[in-house]
Amino acid sequence: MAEEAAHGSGLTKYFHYAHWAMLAGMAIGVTPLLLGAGMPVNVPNAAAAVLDSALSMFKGVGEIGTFVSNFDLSSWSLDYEFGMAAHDMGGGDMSAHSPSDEVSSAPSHDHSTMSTLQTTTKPQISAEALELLNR
Amino acid sequence: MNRREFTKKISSMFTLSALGATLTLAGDIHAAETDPLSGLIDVQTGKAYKAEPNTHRYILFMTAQQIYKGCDAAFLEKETLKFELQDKAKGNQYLPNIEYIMIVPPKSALAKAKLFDNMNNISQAQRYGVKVLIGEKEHVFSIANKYGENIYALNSQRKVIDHTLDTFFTDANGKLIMRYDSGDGMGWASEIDKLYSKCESLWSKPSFCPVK
Repeated sequence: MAEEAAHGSGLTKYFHYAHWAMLAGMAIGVTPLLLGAGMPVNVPNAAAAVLDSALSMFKGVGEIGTFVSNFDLSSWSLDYEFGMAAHDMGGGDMSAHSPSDEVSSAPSHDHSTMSTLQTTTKPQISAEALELLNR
Repeated sequence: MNRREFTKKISSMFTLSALGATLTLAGDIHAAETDPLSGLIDVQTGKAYKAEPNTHRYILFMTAQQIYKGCDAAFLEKETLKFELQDKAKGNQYLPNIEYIMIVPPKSALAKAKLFDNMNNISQAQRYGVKVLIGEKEHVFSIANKYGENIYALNSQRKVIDHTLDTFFTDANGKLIMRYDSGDGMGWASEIDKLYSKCESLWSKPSFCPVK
């Protein structure tokens, strides 16, 4: 009985947790305001910081660095189909992505708006894996 | 307590502890056997993939060949995830180890394999520190199916014509924590906020939450 009085019943414990959760929530919410406006508390700022740090990481790193430093729209591939046409040397048709294929409803990624960081690095592939890759 | 009772108690304690040990061992073996990525080959070493202990996974299902321009955007996004986790971990004093993985099927799994004479996705993955794993076509498809639907888009011959850029963030046992479109970097922030908010839960904390 005395122990229950000291530590509270089940319901009291629940309010105890809720009380601390509320205090923690308030602390998390108020701290950025107290620290001033310099903190990236909103999503656009955070995203900009991420992009900035990601790009700056690659400056001076081989071709990616060149890409970042000399950002130029002309280096972007305009269209997937043009890229495909260059590859289509063997008389293969272009129906790989045409509606005639029975495509499942997998959400396709937006290829047209993304850039490509071209690389000339040779991939490191073991003989065993290469055999499997070309199977 | 007489001698007979004492012996009885001791023997029941031994039985219980032996049963517990057996169950623990069985659980460990079961966990090792049921790693969803078991049976895949590390492209760089040619050896069977072995999971890093206590390490979360960032998994991409793609192809070795770059089918589309922009497939490699997924590799950049791992930095965004890392950034967001680090940002949150400052408060929690905890950051999970993460292994970055791309899983690919053999070239013959592609609908137009002859058109794609490149290994660009492998080169890019390795450049960004992403481990590449390969398996037989149906094995790779079955692993993908364990994580979700419509990861690879297949034609009527069950050949790949496209894949998502979705990322699968899992715990150390390969259990899915979050599926996310890595082409949409903006969303990581709110998703990770949601994940960490679960650390306050008294009942079901994600595995990366700090232990109190």
